[in-house]
Amino acid sequence: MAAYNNDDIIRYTEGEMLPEERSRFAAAMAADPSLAAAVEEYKLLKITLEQRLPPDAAADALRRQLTQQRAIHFKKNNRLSAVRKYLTGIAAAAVVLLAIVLTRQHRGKDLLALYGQVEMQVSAERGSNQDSLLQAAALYFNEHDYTKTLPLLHQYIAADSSNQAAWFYRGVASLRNGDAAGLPDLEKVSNGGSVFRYDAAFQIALWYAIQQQPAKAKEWLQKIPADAAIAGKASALRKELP
Amino acid sequence: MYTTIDQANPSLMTIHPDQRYLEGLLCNDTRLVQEIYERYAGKIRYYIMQNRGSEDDAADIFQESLMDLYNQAKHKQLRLTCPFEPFFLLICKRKWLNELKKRERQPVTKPADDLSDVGEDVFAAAEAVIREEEQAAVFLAQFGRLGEKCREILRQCLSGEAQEKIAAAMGVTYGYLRKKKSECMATLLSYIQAQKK
Repeated sequence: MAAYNNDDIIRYTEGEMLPEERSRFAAAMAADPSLAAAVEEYKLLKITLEQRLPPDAAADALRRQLTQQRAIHFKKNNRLSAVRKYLTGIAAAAVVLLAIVLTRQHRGKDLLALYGQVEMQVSAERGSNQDSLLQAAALYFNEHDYTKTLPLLHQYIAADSSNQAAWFYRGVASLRNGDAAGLPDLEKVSNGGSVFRYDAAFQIALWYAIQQQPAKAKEWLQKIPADAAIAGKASALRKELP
Repeated sequence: MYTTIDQANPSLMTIHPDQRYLEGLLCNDTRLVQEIYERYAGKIRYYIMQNRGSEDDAADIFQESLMDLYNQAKHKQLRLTCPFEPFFLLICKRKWLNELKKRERQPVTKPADDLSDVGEDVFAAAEAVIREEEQAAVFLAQFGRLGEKCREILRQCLSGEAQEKIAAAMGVTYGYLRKKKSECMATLLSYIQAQKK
């Protein structure tokens, strides 16, 4: 298997090899059981994710049913009681800690520092001038030099307005510069179907939270579904709002 | 030969009337789920508590085993050709033995003696359920280690939707999407391989 790596396994399975390379790979697989096993594992991984990643409402309902039956047919034992006491203690401590944290926040704690961490990630696809612009913008963005980031993203979007990532990072950069002009960029991304849509909604909510406009912040947080990657942060921010 | 479960070609096998339990799990039939608990919770509680487990351990194993059966019935078209009881109890017991192994303890009773009263086919089928569900759990756990963007891209790309449509919806090119998907899958494979070492 040493001659082939995971990229090759994926390309073979996805039918992305040219016929000659594919034949060589098949021959190598016939001679190397570990390579054949790796291909089988990839196929199994793919089908498992296809089956189990989509939300399964029936499974969720069954879990709830099983939890109910469990409470009827299994008793809580002493060990659990001890754990529960321990957890109760932790919960009480957490409440005190939370109170301290919230008090601090009301004294002007910076929500941005807590929830505003965003790293600009780009993947050079074609090595074009457009990619260079994005990479330069990412460099400044990740150094929090938004004044230098913005002109690069303006230039990028002027040439290619289809890249939702560019709109997202430009919106965030504007807001970090204290300029509400970033809001329309983020609203556009939030209303689209890109992978950034819920992050955009979160960034808008964060902006309004910082501006002491909790009602608007909550309105944007409500747009983030529970299964979104950003949902945890959204829920934490929601709890910080009065 | 005593046959039990056939996942490969269920149409050739006689489905056991206890298949109703699997159907009950699939459609979340309260009465059938309750019946499973009433009939078998006590047996599993006794077995696990005799083998260094607690009542909570028994409840966890019982619940996880039922979810395993749900997943197998839903995704692997598992059909029952033997009675439910020996098959289900064996799954629970094997899961508990695996759990003890993870906790680096030795079981008190002799597992071979304890499990020898079932047919070979039941044994093999139960082992297959456990092996496949453990494998799926590893895949999903390693998937959870990927970055947010990779998880989202794979979710979308493996949803069955046309890749061109997904790329357009994401505001990226088709080539970029394919490249990122392959990169994310390669990373995931490397996590899975590293986890085995």
